[in-house]
Amino acid sequence: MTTPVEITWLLAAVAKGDALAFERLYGATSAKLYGVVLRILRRHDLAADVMEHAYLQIWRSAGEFDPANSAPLAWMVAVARRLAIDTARRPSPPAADGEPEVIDDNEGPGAVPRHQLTDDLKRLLTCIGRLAPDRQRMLLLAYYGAFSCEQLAAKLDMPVDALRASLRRSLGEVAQCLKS
Amino acid sequence: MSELEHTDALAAEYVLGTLDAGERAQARALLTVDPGFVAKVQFWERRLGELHTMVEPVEPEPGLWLRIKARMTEPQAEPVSLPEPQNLEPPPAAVAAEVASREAPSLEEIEATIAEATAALNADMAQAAPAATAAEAATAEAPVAEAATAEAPVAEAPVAEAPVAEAPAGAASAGEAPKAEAPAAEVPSLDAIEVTISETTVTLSTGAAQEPSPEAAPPPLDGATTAATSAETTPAPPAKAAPHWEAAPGWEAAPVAPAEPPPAPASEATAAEIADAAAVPAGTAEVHAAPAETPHAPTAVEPVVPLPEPPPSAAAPVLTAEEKWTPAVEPQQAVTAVRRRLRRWRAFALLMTLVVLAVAALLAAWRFAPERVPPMLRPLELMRQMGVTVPAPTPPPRRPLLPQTQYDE
Repeated sequence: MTTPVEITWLLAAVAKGDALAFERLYGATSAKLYGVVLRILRRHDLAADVMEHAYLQIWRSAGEFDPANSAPLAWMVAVARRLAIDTARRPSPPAADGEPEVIDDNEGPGAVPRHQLTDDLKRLLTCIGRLAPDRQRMLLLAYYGAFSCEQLAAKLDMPVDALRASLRRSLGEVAQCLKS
Repeated sequence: MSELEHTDALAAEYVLGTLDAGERAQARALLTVDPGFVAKVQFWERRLGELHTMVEPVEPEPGLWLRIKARMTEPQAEPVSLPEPQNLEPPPAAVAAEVASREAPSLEEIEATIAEATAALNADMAQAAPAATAAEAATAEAPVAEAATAEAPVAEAPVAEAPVAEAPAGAASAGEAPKAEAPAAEVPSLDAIEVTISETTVTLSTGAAQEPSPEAAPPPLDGATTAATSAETTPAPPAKAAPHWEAAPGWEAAPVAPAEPPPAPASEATAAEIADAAAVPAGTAEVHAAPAETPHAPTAVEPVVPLPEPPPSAAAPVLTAEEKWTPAVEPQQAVTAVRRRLRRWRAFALLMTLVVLAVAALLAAWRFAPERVPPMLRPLELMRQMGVTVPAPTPPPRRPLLPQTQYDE
Protein backbone atom coordinates (compact mmCIF):
# COMPACT_ATOMS: atom_id res chain seq x y z
CA MET A 1 0.00 0.00 0.00
CA THR A 2 1.49 3.27 -1.09
CA THR A 3 0.86 6.12 1.24
CA PRO A 4 -0.34 9.53 0.06
CA VAL A 5 3.04 10.97 0.98
CA GLU A 6 4.81 8.50 -1.27
CA ILE A 7 2.45 9.26 -4.11
CA THR A 8 3.16 12.94 -3.61
CA TRP A 9 6.89 12.24 -3.90
CA LEU A 10 6.34 10.23 -7.02
CA LEU A 11 4.21 12.95 -8.55
CA ALA A 12 6.90 15.51 -7.77
CA ALA A 13 9.49 13.30 -9.45
CA VAL A 14 7.21 12.74 -12.41
CA ALA A 15 6.81 16.49 -12.75
CA LYS A 16 10.58 16.62 -13.32
CA GLY A 17 10.35 14.01 -16.03
CA ASP A 18 11.46 10.99 -14.03
CA ALA A 19 10.20 8.05 -16.05
CA LEU A 20 11.13 5.53 -13.37
CA ALA A 21 9.02 7.37 -10.85
CA PHE A 22 6.19 7.39 -13.33
CA GLU A 23 6.35 3.65 -13.66
CA ARG A 24 6.23 3.30 -9.91
CA LEU A 25 3.35 5.74 -9.77
CA TYR A 26 1.51 3.68 -12.33
CA GLY A 27 2.11 0.53 -10.36
CA ALA A 28 0.86 2.14 -7.18
CA THR A 29 -2.26 3.77 -8.52
CA SER A 30 -3.43 2.07 -11.71
CA ALA A 31 -5.71 -0.42 -9.99
CA LYS A 32 -7.56 2.30 -8.13
CA LEU A 33 -7.96 4.47 -11.20
CA TYR A 34 -9.01 1.51 -13.27
CA GLY A 35 -11.63 0.58 -10.72
CA VAL A 36 -13.07 4.08 -10.84
CA VAL A 37 -13.01 4.30 -14.61
CA LEU A 38 -14.42 0.84 -15.10
CA ARG A 39 -17.37 1.62 -12.87
CA ILE A 40 -18.23 4.57 -15.03
CA LEU A 41 -17.66 3.01 -18.45
CA ARG A 42 -18.45 -0.60 -17.58
CA ARG A 43 -16.33 -1.84 -20.47
CA HIS A 44 -12.74 -2.91 -20.36
CA ASP A 45 -11.80 -1.64 -23.80
CA LEU A 46 -13.12 1.87 -23.20
CA ALA A 47 -11.72 1.92 -19.70
CA ALA A 48 -8.28 0.96 -20.96
CA ASP A 49 -8.37 3.78 -23.52
CA VAL A 50 -9.32 6.26 -20.88
CA MET A 51 -6.60 4.96 -18.58
CA GLU A 52 -4.04 5.46 -21.30
CA HIS A 53 -5.07 9.04 -21.82
CA ALA A 54 -5.40 9.74 -18.14
CA TYR A 55 -1.88 8.55 -17.40
CA LEU A 56 -0.45 10.47 -20.32
CA GLN A 57 -2.16 13.55 -19.00
CA ILE A 58 -0.78 12.87 -15.53
CA TRP A 59 2.68 12.38 -17.01
CA ARG A 60 2.48 15.74 -18.70
CA SER A 61 0.71 17.78 -16.09
CA ALA A 62 2.01 16.32 -12.84
CA GLY A 63 3.51 19.72 -12.15
CA GLU A 64 0.03 21.14 -11.79
CA PHE A 65 -0.65 18.99 -8.81
CA ASP A 66 -0.57 21.05 -5.65
CA PRO A 67 -0.23 18.98 -2.48
CA ALA A 68 -1.70 21.83 -0.49
CA ASN A 69 -4.82 21.69 -2.57
CA SER A 70 -5.85 18.07 -2.64
CA ALA A 71 -4.85 14.54 -1.85
CA PRO A 72 -2.61 13.10 -4.58
CA LEU A 73 -4.74 10.07 -5.33
CA ALA A 74 -7.90 12.18 -5.38
CA TRP A 75 -6.25 14.46 -7.90
CA MET A 76 -5.34 11.54 -10.15
CA VAL A 77 -8.80 10.07 -9.79
CA ALA A 78 -10.27 13.42 -10.76
CA VAL A 79 -8.18 13.48 -13.95
CA ALA A 80 -9.29 9.98 -14.86
CA ARG A 81 -12.91 10.63 -14.00
CA ARG A 82 -13.07 13.68 -16.20
CA LEU A 83 -11.85 11.72 -19.18
CA ALA A 84 -14.06 8.76 -18.35
CA ILE A 85 -17.19 10.88 -18.11
CA ASP A 86 -16.36 12.66 -21.34
CA THR A 87 -16.01 9.28 -22.98
CA ALA A 88 -19.21 8.00 -21.42
CA ARG A 89 -21.10 10.94 -22.92
CA ARG A 90 -20.08 10.03 -26.44
CA PRO A 91 -21.90 7.41 -28.41
CA SER A 92 -19.81 4.38 -27.54
CA PRO A 93 -18.61 1.96 -30.20
CA PRO A 94 -19.33 -1.71 -29.88
CA ALA A 95 -16.40 -3.69 -28.60
CA ALA A 96 -14.01 -5.15 -31.13
CA ASP A 97 -15.50 -8.60 -31.20
CA GLY A 98 -19.00 -7.20 -31.47
CA GLU A 99 -19.81 -8.10 -27.95
CA PRO A 100 -19.16 -5.94 -24.93
CA GLU A 101 -16.64 -7.39 -22.61
CA VAL A 102 -18.01 -9.06 -19.61
CA ILE A 103 -17.20 -7.51 -16.34
CA ASP A 104 -16.49 -10.25 -13.94
CA ASP A 105 -18.61 -10.15 -10.84
CA ASN A 106 -15.97 -11.77 -8.74
CA GLU A 107 -13.05 -9.50 -9.21
CA GLY A 108 -11.98 -10.04 -5.68
CA PRO A 109 -14.15 -7.64 -3.77
CA GLY A 110 -12.14 -6.51 -0.81
CA ALA A 111 -13.35 -4.63 2.17
CA VAL A 112 -12.50 -1.02 2.66
CA PRO A 113 -10.50 -1.35 5.83
CA ARG A 114 -11.68 1.03 8.44
CA HIS A 115 -8.33 2.66 8.74
CA GLN A 116 -8.80 3.81 5.19
CA LEU A 117 -11.71 5.93 6.31
CA THR A 118 -9.71 9.10 6.40
CA ASP A 119 -10.90 12.09 8.36
CA ASP A 120 -11.88 13.84 5.16
CA LEU A 121 -13.91 10.88 4.03
CA LYS A 122 -15.59 10.61 7.38
CA ARG A 123 -16.52 14.24 7.25
CA LEU A 124 -17.89 13.85 3.76
CA LEU A 125 -19.87 10.75 4.67
CA THR A 126 -21.23 12.47 7.71
CA CYS A 127 -22.42 15.36 5.58
CA ILE A 128 -23.93 13.04 2.99
CA GLY A 129 -25.51 11.12 5.83
CA ARG A 130 -27.43 14.22 6.78
CA LEU A 131 -29.32 14.15 3.50
CA ALA A 132 -32.60 12.30 3.21
CA PRO A 133 -32.01 8.66 2.22
CA ASP A 134 -33.39 8.98 -1.30
CA ARG A 135 -31.19 11.99 -1.92
CA GLN A 136 -28.16 10.18 -0.55
CA ARG A 137 -28.81 7.40 -2.99
CA MET A 138 -29.21 9.84 -5.82
CA LEU A 139 -25.94 11.57 -5.06
CA LEU A 140 -23.94 8.39 -4.68
CA LEU A 141 -25.40 6.85 -7.79
CA ALA A 142 -24.52 10.02 -9.66
CA TYR A 143 -20.96 10.00 -8.39
CA TYR A 144 -20.10 6.34 -8.77
CA GLY A 145 -21.89 5.74 -12.03
CA ALA A 146 -21.42 9.26 -13.39
CA PHE A 147 -24.85 9.09 -14.99
CA SER A 148 -26.21 12.16 -16.67
CA CYS A 149 -29.28 13.74 -15.16
CA GLU A 150 -31.44 12.19 -17.89
CA GLN A 151 -30.08 8.69 -17.28
CA LEU A 152 -30.43 9.14 -13.58
CA ALA A 153 -33.97 10.42 -13.90
CA ALA A 154 -34.92 7.42 -16.00
CA LYS A 155 -33.26 5.11 -13.55
CA LEU A 156 -34.92 6.62 -10.50
CA ASP A 157 -38.16 7.18 -12.38
CA MET A 158 -38.59 10.85 -11.65
CA PRO A 159 -38.76 14.03 -13.75
CA VAL A 160 -35.41 15.39 -14.87
CA ASP A 161 -36.02 18.88 -13.57
CA ALA A 162 -37.02 17.69 -10.15
CA LEU A 163 -34.01 15.43 -10.03
CA ARG A 164 -31.63 18.18 -11.01
CA ALA A 165 -33.11 20.59 -8.50
CA SER A 166 -32.92 17.98 -5.77
CA LEU A 167 -29.35 17.11 -6.70
CA ARG A 168 -28.27 20.72 -6.60
CA ARG A 169 -29.93 21.22 -3.28
CA SER A 170 -28.11 18.16 -1.96
CA LEU A 171 -24.80 19.47 -3.25
CA GLY A 172 -25.47 22.83 -1.67
CA GLU A 173 -26.23 21.26 1.64
CA VAL A 174 -23.18 19.06 1.52
CA ALA A 175 -21.05 22.04 0.63
CA GLN A 176 -22.41 24.03 3.52
CA CYS A 177 -22.00 21.14 5.90
CA LEU A 178 -18.38 20.64 4.84
CA LYS A 179 -17.69 24.32 5.24
CA SER A 180 -18.89 24.46 8.80
CA MET B 1 -31.91 27.05 2.19
CA SER B 2 -28.46 26.54 0.75
CA GLU B 3 -28.87 27.15 -2.94
CA LEU B 4 -25.80 27.01 -5.07
CA GLU B 5 -25.03 29.88 -7.32
CA HIS B 6 -25.25 28.94 -11.00
CA THR B 7 -21.59 28.47 -11.90
CA ASP B 8 -20.99 26.79 -8.58
CA ALA B 9 -23.77 24.36 -9.36
CA LEU B 10 -22.33 23.82 -12.81
CA ALA B 11 -18.92 23.11 -11.31
CA ALA B 12 -20.44 20.73 -8.78
CA GLU B 13 -22.40 18.86 -11.40
CA TYR B 14 -19.39 18.79 -13.69
CA VAL B 15 -17.39 17.07 -10.99
CA LEU B 16 -20.24 14.84 -9.94
CA GLY B 17 -20.67 13.77 -13.54
CA THR B 18 -24.33 14.49 -14.12
CA LEU B 19 -23.95 16.95 -16.99
CA ASP B 20 -24.80 15.74 -20.46
CA ALA B 21 -22.43 16.05 -23.40
CA GLY B 22 -23.47 19.60 -24.34
CA GLU B 23 -23.31 20.94 -20.82
CA ARG B 24 -19.94 19.31 -20.28
CA ALA B 25 -18.62 20.96 -23.41
CA GLN B 26 -19.85 24.26 -22.02
CA ALA B 27 -18.17 23.59 -18.71
CA ARG B 28 -14.93 22.64 -20.45
CA ALA B 29 -15.01 25.86 -22.42
CA LEU B 30 -15.55 27.76 -19.21
CA LEU B 31 -12.61 25.91 -17.67
CA THR B 32 -10.25 27.29 -20.29
CA VAL B 33 -11.26 30.91 -19.84
CA ASP B 34 -12.49 31.39 -16.32
CA PRO B 35 -9.98 30.86 -13.50
CA GLY B 36 -12.77 31.32 -10.99
CA PHE B 37 -14.60 28.38 -12.48
CA VAL B 38 -11.41 26.33 -12.43
CA ALA B 39 -11.09 27.05 -8.73
CA LYS B 40 -14.67 25.98 -8.16
CA VAL B 41 -14.15 22.74 -10.02
CA GLN B 42 -11.00 22.01 -8.03
CA PHE B 43 -12.89 22.80 -4.88
CA TRP B 44 -15.55 20.25 -5.71
CA GLU B 45 -13.00 17.70 -6.82
CA ARG B 46 -11.42 18.04 -3.43
CA ARG B 47 -14.75 17.77 -1.65
CA LEU B 48 -16.06 14.74 -3.46
CA GLY B 49 -12.68 13.23 -4.25
CA GLU B 50 -12.54 11.17 -1.09
CA LEU B 51 -15.47 9.06 -2.26
CA HIS B 52 -13.07 7.15 -4.49
CA THR B 53 -11.83 5.35 -1.39
CA MET B 54 -14.98 3.26 -1.50
CA VAL B 55 -14.27 2.05 -5.01
CA GLU B 56 -12.61 -1.27 -5.07
CA PRO B 57 -9.40 -1.35 -7.14
CA VAL B 58 -9.34 -3.44 -10.29
CA GLU B 59 -6.06 -4.44 -11.88
CA PRO B 60 -5.89 -3.31 -15.49
CA GLU B 61 -4.53 -5.61 -18.16
CA PRO B 62 -0.72 -5.79 -18.07
CA GLY B 63 -0.38 -4.53 -21.65
CA LEU B 64 -1.76 -1.15 -20.69
CA TRP B 65 1.49 0.04 -19.18
CA LEU B 66 3.38 -0.77 -22.34
CA ARG B 67 0.89 1.25 -24.35
CA ILE B 68 1.31 4.21 -22.05
CA LYS B 69 5.08 3.86 -21.99
CA ALA B 70 5.21 3.83 -25.75
CA ARG B 71 3.40 7.14 -25.92
CA MET B 72 5.25 8.86 -23.08
CA THR B 73 7.89 10.23 -25.40
CA GLU B 74 5.44 11.85 -27.77
CA PRO B 75 5.91 15.59 -28.11
CA GLN B 76 4.63 17.47 -25.15
CA ALA B 77 2.80 20.01 -27.29
CA GLU B 78 0.27 17.53 -28.53
CA PRO B 79 -2.75 17.91 -26.31
CA VAL B 80 -4.02 14.78 -24.75
CA SER B 81 -7.00 13.74 -26.77
CA LEU B 82 -9.83 11.48 -25.94
CA PRO B 83 -10.36 8.28 -27.82
CA GLU B 84 -10.70 9.28 -31.43
CA PRO B 85 -14.30 9.55 -32.45
CA GLN B 86 -13.75 8.22 -35.98
CA ASN B 87 -13.96 4.62 -34.90
CA LEU B 88 -17.17 5.30 -33.07
CA GLU B 89 -20.32 3.91 -34.51
CA PRO B 90 -23.81 4.32 -33.22
CA PRO B 91 -24.34 1.56 -30.70
CA PRO B 92 -26.83 -1.15 -31.56
CA ALA B 93 -29.73 -1.13 -29.18
CA ALA B 94 -28.89 -4.63 -28.07
CA VAL B 95 -25.46 -3.52 -26.99
CA ALA B 96 -26.87 -0.60 -25.07
CA ALA B 97 -29.31 -2.87 -23.32
CA GLU B 98 -26.54 -5.28 -22.54
CA VAL B 99 -24.45 -2.52 -21.09
CA ALA B 100 -27.39 -1.34 -19.05
CA SER B 101 -27.88 -4.76 -17.59
CA ARG B 102 -24.26 -4.82 -16.61
CA GLU B 103 -24.57 -1.89 -14.29
CA ALA B 104 -25.85 -4.11 -11.57
CA PRO B 105 -22.80 -6.34 -11.17
CA SER B 106 -20.51 -3.39 -11.37
CA LEU B 107 -22.40 -1.60 -8.65
CA GLU B 108 -22.36 -4.75 -6.68
CA GLU B 109 -18.63 -4.74 -6.36
CA ILE B 110 -18.90 -1.58 -4.36
CA GLU B 111 -21.80 -2.96 -2.52
CA ALA B 112 -19.82 -5.97 -1.43
CA THR B 113 -16.94 -3.77 -0.43
CA ILE B 114 -19.12 -1.53 1.58
CA ALA B 115 -21.15 -4.35 3.05
CA GLU B 116 -17.96 -5.79 4.45
CA ALA B 117 -16.90 -2.49 5.86
CA THR B 118 -20.38 -2.19 7.20
CA ALA B 119 -20.20 -5.55 8.87
CA ALA B 120 -17.27 -4.37 10.93
CA LEU B 121 -19.15 -1.25 11.88
CA ASN B 122 -22.20 -3.33 12.63
CA ALA B 123 -20.35 -5.31 15.20
CA ASP B 124 -19.57 -2.09 16.99
CA MET B 125 -23.07 -0.86 16.52
CA ALA B 126 -24.46 -3.99 18.10
CA GLN B 127 -22.62 -3.03 21.23
CA ALA B 128 -23.99 0.46 21.13
CA ALA B 129 -27.57 -0.74 20.68
CA PRO B 130 -28.19 -1.98 24.23
CA ALA B 131 -26.96 1.32 25.57
CA ALA B 132 -29.55 3.05 23.44
CA THR B 133 -32.33 0.93 24.87
CA ALA B 134 -31.07 1.76 28.30
CA ALA B 135 -31.47 5.39 27.39
CA GLU B 136 -35.04 4.71 26.41
CA ALA B 137 -35.81 3.18 29.75
CA ALA B 138 -33.98 5.81 31.75
CA THR B 139 -35.25 8.98 30.22
CA ALA B 140 -38.73 10.11 31.24
CA GLU B 141 -39.05 13.41 29.36
CA ALA B 142 -41.50 13.27 26.51
CA PRO B 143 -39.41 14.39 23.53
CA VAL B 144 -36.41 12.45 24.60
CA ALA B 145 -38.43 9.33 25.19
CA GLU B 146 -39.82 9.64 21.72
CA ALA B 147 -36.45 10.08 20.19
CA ALA B 148 -35.19 7.07 22.05
CA THR B 149 -38.05 4.81 21.07
CA ALA B 150 -37.68 5.84 17.51
CA GLU B 151 -34.02 5.18 17.81
CA ALA B 152 -34.12 1.62 19.09
CA PRO B 153 -35.26 0.04 15.81
CA VAL B 154 -32.97 2.32 13.88
CA ALA B 155 -29.94 1.13 15.71
CA GLU B 156 -30.95 -2.41 14.93
CA ALA B 157 -31.50 -1.66 11.28
CA PRO B 158 -27.86 -1.86 10.18
CA VAL B 159 -27.54 -5.27 11.72
CA ALA B 160 -30.56 -6.44 9.80
CA GLU B 161 -29.14 -4.78 6.75
CA ALA B 162 -26.20 -7.11 6.33
CA PRO B 163 -28.18 -10.13 5.14
CA VAL B 164 -30.27 -7.91 2.91
CA ALA B 165 -27.22 -6.53 1.23
CA GLU B 166 -25.90 -9.99 0.64
CA ALA B 167 -29.11 -11.29 -0.86
CA PRO B 168 -28.84 -9.51 -4.20
CA ALA B 169 -25.22 -10.50 -4.52
CA GLY B 170 -26.21 -14.12 -4.32
CA ALA B 171 -29.05 -13.57 -6.75
CA ALA B 172 -26.83 -11.94 -9.29
CA SER B 173 -24.11 -14.56 -9.17
CA ALA B 174 -26.66 -17.35 -9.43
CA GLY B 175 -28.41 -16.01 -12.54
CA GLU B 176 -26.65 -14.26 -15.40
CA ALA B 177 -28.11 -10.94 -14.26
CA PRO B 178 -31.27 -10.78 -16.31
CA LYS B 179 -32.31 -7.26 -17.16
CA ALA B 180 -35.35 -7.35 -14.95
CA GLU B 181 -33.10 -7.93 -12.00
CA ALA B 182 -30.72 -5.15 -12.66
CA PRO B 183 -32.54 -2.27 -11.05
CA ALA B 184 -33.53 -4.41 -8.13
CA ALA B 185 -29.96 -5.35 -7.48
CA GLU B 186 -28.79 -1.80 -7.81
CA VAL B 187 -30.80 -0.31 -5.04
CA PRO B 188 -29.46 -2.40 -2.20
CA SER B 189 -25.97 -1.58 -3.23
CA LEU B 190 -26.61 2.04 -2.48
CA ASP B 191 -28.43 1.01 0.62
CA ALA B 192 -25.23 -0.48 1.78
CA ILE B 193 -23.44 2.77 1.09
CA GLU B 194 -26.08 4.59 3.01
CA VAL B 195 -25.70 2.22 5.89
CA THR B 196 -22.03 2.95 5.89
CA ILE B 197 -22.77 6.61 5.90
CA SER B 198 -25.29 6.47 8.66
CA GLU B 199 -22.98 4.34 10.70
CA THR B 200 -20.08 6.60 10.18
CA THR B 201 -22.38 9.33 11.32
CA VAL B 202 -23.35 7.42 14.39
CA THR B 203 -19.78 6.48 15.12
CA LEU B 204 -18.75 10.08 14.89
CA SER B 205 -21.69 11.18 16.94
CA THR B 206 -20.91 8.80 19.72
CA GLY B 207 -17.43 10.18 19.71
CA ALA B 208 -18.79 13.69 19.88
CA ALA B 209 -21.25 12.76 22.57
CA GLN B 210 -18.62 11.30 24.79
CA GLU B 211 -16.51 14.33 25.33
CA PRO B 212 -19.14 16.48 26.95
CA SER B 213 -20.80 13.62 28.79
CA PRO B 214 -18.93 13.90 32.10
CA GLU B 215 -19.85 17.48 32.76
CA ALA B 216 -23.33 16.98 31.39
CA ALA B 217 -24.06 14.01 33.57
CA PRO B 218 -25.24 15.67 36.79
CA PRO B 219 -28.30 17.68 35.65
CA PRO B 220 -30.83 15.43 33.92
CA LEU B 221 -32.81 18.41 32.72
CA ASP B 222 -29.85 19.63 30.73
CA GLY B 223 -29.55 16.25 29.16
CA ALA B 224 -33.09 16.44 27.91
CA THR B 225 -32.45 19.86 26.53
CA THR B 226 -29.41 18.88 24.60
CA ALA B 227 -31.00 15.75 23.32
CA ALA B 228 -33.92 17.72 22.05
CA THR B 229 -31.66 20.26 20.46
CA SER B 230 -29.60 17.84 18.53
CA ALA B 231 -32.80 16.26 17.31
CA GLU B 232 -34.07 19.65 16.34
CA THR B 233 -31.15 20.44 14.09
CA THR B 234 -32.35 17.35 12.44
CA PRO B 235 -30.11 16.53 9.64
CA ALA B 236 -28.15 16.51 12.88
CA PRO B 237 -24.51 17.19 12.48
CA PRO B 238 -23.31 14.59 14.88
CA ALA B 239 -19.94 16.17 15.06
CA LYS B 240 -21.68 19.42 15.81
CA ALA B 241 -23.68 18.10 18.67
CA ALA B 242 -20.97 19.31 20.99
CA PRO B 243 -20.91 22.97 19.83
CA HIS B 244 -24.69 23.13 20.16
CA TRP B 245 -24.31 22.08 23.70
CA GLU B 246 -24.16 25.40 25.53
CA ALA B 247 -26.50 27.30 23.31
CA ALA B 248 -29.35 24.83 23.61
CA PRO B 249 -32.58 26.53 24.66
CA GLY B 250 -34.84 23.80 25.89
CA TRP B 251 -38.21 25.43 25.32
CA GLU B 252 -37.49 25.97 21.66
CA ALA B 253 -36.23 22.51 21.07
CA ALA B 254 -38.92 20.53 22.81
CA PRO B 255 -41.76 20.93 20.31
CA VAL B 256 -39.52 20.46 17.30
CA ALA B 257 -37.85 17.27 18.31
CA PRO B 258 -40.69 14.83 17.72
CA ALA B 259 -41.65 16.59 14.51
CA GLU B 260 -39.10 14.98 12.21
CA PRO B 261 -38.02 11.59 13.37
CA PRO B 262 -37.93 9.60 10.12
CA PRO B 263 -35.57 11.41 7.77
CA ALA B 264 -32.42 11.30 9.85
CA PRO B 265 -31.92 8.11 11.75
CA ALA B 266 -28.41 9.14 12.58
CA SER B 267 -29.51 12.26 14.34
CA GLU B 268 -31.93 10.35 16.46
CA ALA B 269 -29.19 8.07 17.42
CA THR B 270 -27.26 11.13 18.41
CA ALA B 271 -30.11 12.42 20.46
CA ALA B 272 -30.55 9.16 22.27
CA GLU B 273 -26.86 8.75 22.81
CA ILE B 274 -26.55 12.18 24.24
CA ALA B 275 -29.64 11.72 26.33
CA ASP B 276 -28.17 8.53 27.54
CA ALA B 277 -24.88 10.06 28.42
CA ALA B 278 -26.57 12.99 30.07
CA ALA B 279 -29.52 11.53 31.95
CA VAL B 280 -28.08 8.31 33.22
CA PRO B 281 -26.14 8.81 36.45
CA ALA B 282 -22.41 9.02 36.16
CA GLY B 283 -21.68 5.36 36.85
CA THR B 284 -23.97 4.12 34.12
CA ALA B 285 -22.76 6.72 31.75
CA GLU B 286 -19.29 5.36 32.11
CA VAL B 287 -20.47 1.86 31.45
CA HIS B 288 -22.08 3.08 28.31
CA ALA B 289 -19.10 5.09 27.29
CA ALA B 290 -16.93 2.02 27.24
CA PRO B 291 -18.68 0.16 24.39
CA ALA B 292 -19.35 3.37 22.55
CA GLU B 293 -15.69 4.15 22.66
CA THR B 294 -14.80 0.97 20.86
CA PRO B 295 -16.31 1.87 17.52
CA HIS B 296 -14.85 5.31 17.70
CA ALA B 297 -11.32 4.64 18.76
CA PRO B 298 -10.00 2.62 15.83
CA THR B 299 -11.43 4.92 13.20
CA ALA B 300 -10.18 7.95 14.97
CA VAL B 301 -6.69 6.79 15.60
CA GLU B 302 -5.73 4.91 12.53
CA PRO B 303 -6.40 7.45 9.82
CA VAL B 304 -4.30 9.90 11.72
CA VAL B 305 -1.21 7.86 11.23
CA PRO B 306 -0.25 9.18 7.82
CA LEU B 307 -1.29 12.70 8.68
CA PRO B 308 1.47 13.85 11.02
CA GLU B 309 3.87 13.89 8.16
CA PRO B 310 3.63 17.36 6.69
CA PRO B 311 2.84 17.51 2.99
CA PRO B 312 6.27 17.60 1.49
CA SER B 313 7.19 20.55 -0.66
CA ALA B 314 7.73 20.12 -4.36
CA ALA B 315 11.52 20.12 -4.22
CA ALA B 316 12.21 18.16 -1.09
CA PRO B 317 10.28 15.04 -2.03
CA VAL B 318 12.29 14.55 -5.14
CA LEU B 319 15.51 14.54 -3.25
CA THR B 320 14.15 12.23 -0.65
CA ALA B 321 12.80 9.90 -3.24
CA GLU B 322 16.17 9.77 -4.97
CA GLU B 323 17.95 9.28 -1.71
CA LYS B 324 15.66 6.43 -1.04
CA TRP B 325 16.71 4.78 -4.26
CA THR B 326 20.47 5.32 -4.14
CA PRO B 327 21.23 2.97 -1.27
CA ALA B 328 19.71 0.17 -3.26
CA VAL B 329 22.17 0.87 -6.07
CA GLU B 330 25.40 1.38 -4.07
CA PRO B 331 24.85 0.22 -0.55
CA GLN B 332 28.54 -0.52 0.07
CA GLN B 333 29.57 3.07 -0.52
CA ALA B 334 26.90 4.41 1.73
CA VAL B 335 27.97 2.09 4.52
CA THR B 336 31.61 3.16 4.20
CA ALA B 337 30.68 6.80 4.36
CA VAL B 338 28.61 6.26 7.44
CA ARG B 339 31.43 4.36 9.11
CA ARG B 340 33.97 7.07 8.38
CA ARG B 341 31.70 9.69 9.85
CA LEU B 342 31.16 7.53 12.90
CA ARG B 343 34.92 7.14 13.47
CA ARG B 344 35.42 10.90 13.30
CA TRP B 345 32.76 11.45 15.89
CA ARG B 346 34.31 8.90 18.22
CA ALA B 347 37.72 10.58 18.07
CA PHE B 348 36.16 13.93 18.77
CA ALA B 349 34.29 12.58 21.75
CA LEU B 350 37.46 11.03 23.17
CA LEU B 351 39.35 14.29 22.81
CA MET B 352 36.65 16.26 24.56
CA THR B 353 36.64 13.75 27.41
CA LEU B 354 40.40 14.21 27.91
CA VAL B 355 40.05 17.98 27.96
CA VAL B 356 37.30 17.82 30.52
CA LEU B 357 39.36 15.47 32.69
CA ALA B 358 42.38 17.75 32.54
CA VAL B 359 40.38 20.79 33.55
CA ALA B 360 38.77 18.85 36.35
CA ALA B 361 42.17 17.72 37.61
CA LEU B 362 43.49 21.28 37.56
CA LEU B 363 40.51 22.57 39.47
CA ALA B 364 40.88 19.82 42.01
CA ALA B 365 44.55 20.66 42.46
CA TRP B 366 43.79 24.34 43.02
CA ARG B 367 41.19 23.48 45.54
CA PHE B 368 42.88 20.74 47.55
CA ALA B 369 46.62 21.15 47.06
CA PRO B 370 47.32 24.67 45.83
CA GLU B 371 50.93 24.60 46.98
CA ARG B 372 51.78 21.54 44.89
CA VAL B 373 50.50 23.04 41.67
CA PRO B 374 53.45 23.99 39.43
CA PRO B 375 53.84 27.78 39.35
CA MET B 376 52.96 27.86 35.67
CA LEU B 377 49.55 26.54 36.46
CA ARG B 378 48.64 28.72 39.40
CA PRO B 379 45.57 30.78 38.78
CA LEU B 380 47.19 34.17 38.80
CA GLU B 381 49.98 33.04 36.50
CA LEU B 382 47.51 31.50 34.10
CA MET B 383 45.43 34.65 34.03
CA ARG B 384 48.47 36.77 33.30
CA GLN B 385 49.48 34.46 30.49
CA MET B 386 46.06 34.70 28.97
CA GLY B 387 46.27 38.47 28.94
CA VAL B 388 44.10 39.24 31.88
CA THR B 389 45.72 42.08 33.76
CA VAL B 390 45.74 41.34 37.36
CA PRO B 391 46.14 44.50 39.52
CA ALA B 392 49.37 43.23 41.05
CA PRO B 393 50.61 40.24 42.83
CA THR B 394 49.85 42.30 45.88
CA PRO B 395 49.91 40.25 48.96
CA PRO B 396 46.44 39.81 50.20
CA PRO B 397 45.57 42.74 52.46
CA ARG B 398 46.23 41.89 55.95
CA ARG B 399 43.01 41.46 57.72
CA PRO B 400 42.59 43.25 61.01
CA LEU B 401 42.55 40.74 63.71
CA LEU B 402 39.23 39.65 64.84
CA PRO B 403 38.30 40.81 68.30
CA GLN B 404 38.54 37.35 69.74
CA THR B 405 42.07 36.82 68.53
CA GLN B 406 43.60 39.08 71.20
CA TYR B 407 42.52 36.58 73.81
CA ASP B 408 44.05 33.77 71.94
CA GLU B 409 47.51 34.52 73.08
